[in-house]
Amino acid sequence: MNIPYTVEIRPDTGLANGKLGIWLFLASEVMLFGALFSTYIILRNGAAEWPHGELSVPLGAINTVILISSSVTMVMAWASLKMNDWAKHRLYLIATFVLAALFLVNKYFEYSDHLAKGEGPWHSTFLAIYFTLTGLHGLHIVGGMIVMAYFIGPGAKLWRANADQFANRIEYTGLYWHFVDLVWIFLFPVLYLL
Amino acid sequence: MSLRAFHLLFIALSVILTAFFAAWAGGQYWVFQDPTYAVAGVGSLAAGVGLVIYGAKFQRKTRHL
Repeated sequence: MNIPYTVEIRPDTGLANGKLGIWLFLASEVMLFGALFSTYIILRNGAAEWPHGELSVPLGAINTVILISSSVTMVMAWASLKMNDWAKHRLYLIATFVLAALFLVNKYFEYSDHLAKGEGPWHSTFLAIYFTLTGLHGLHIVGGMIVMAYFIGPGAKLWRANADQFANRIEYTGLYWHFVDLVWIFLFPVLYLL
Repeated sequence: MSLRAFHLLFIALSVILTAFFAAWAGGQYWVFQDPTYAVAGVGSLAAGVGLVIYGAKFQRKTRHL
């Protein structure tokens, strides 16, 4: 069966169906994280006192560097495909996967340090919203890693069958990944610095 | 919006973050006089400059994609 508009542009939307789909999905994600950020603002404004310096800024900063680097490797994985360089694409996609894993390892150390001190989400309003926001963001990182693992593994076969469709799929993965990175760009200053 | 355009937007926001982090580190250094904050601030500014250079280069090299 031939699915239309996987590669070619659909005349009425001006986009391939996959791109429209990923942007609709990202719009729903904006609403999800937007609601949680709004909750954070309301809780913080309503609190008599708000804790400062509870989180490790160096760990948060390292994770920011990791995610910015992963956005670079992700876009390079897509650009390599557009230049027909399969080997470089593989290298960059695997690098993105490894960087995502490093982010989660850092997060594990951060979480376990808090939990060892009895500072779970039940400890304070700040830690409740911290664990909720970063936990949801971490789940999105895991989701991205699953998609990347698929394209590194069994999904890579599509490149030989339909190179343009495969490149489009990597572009959509990249759009999702950039959104996840963008959420962190807001989370880091809001939770760690302000 | 294409991945290329979204990436450029992301890099621009990352540059703003590095400037914000540098300002934050400067403020902390002012209060605590801990040289670690000064190093972090300068490092963040350097990272910001690096990102600007990278963004300009990326825009130039991927114009045809």
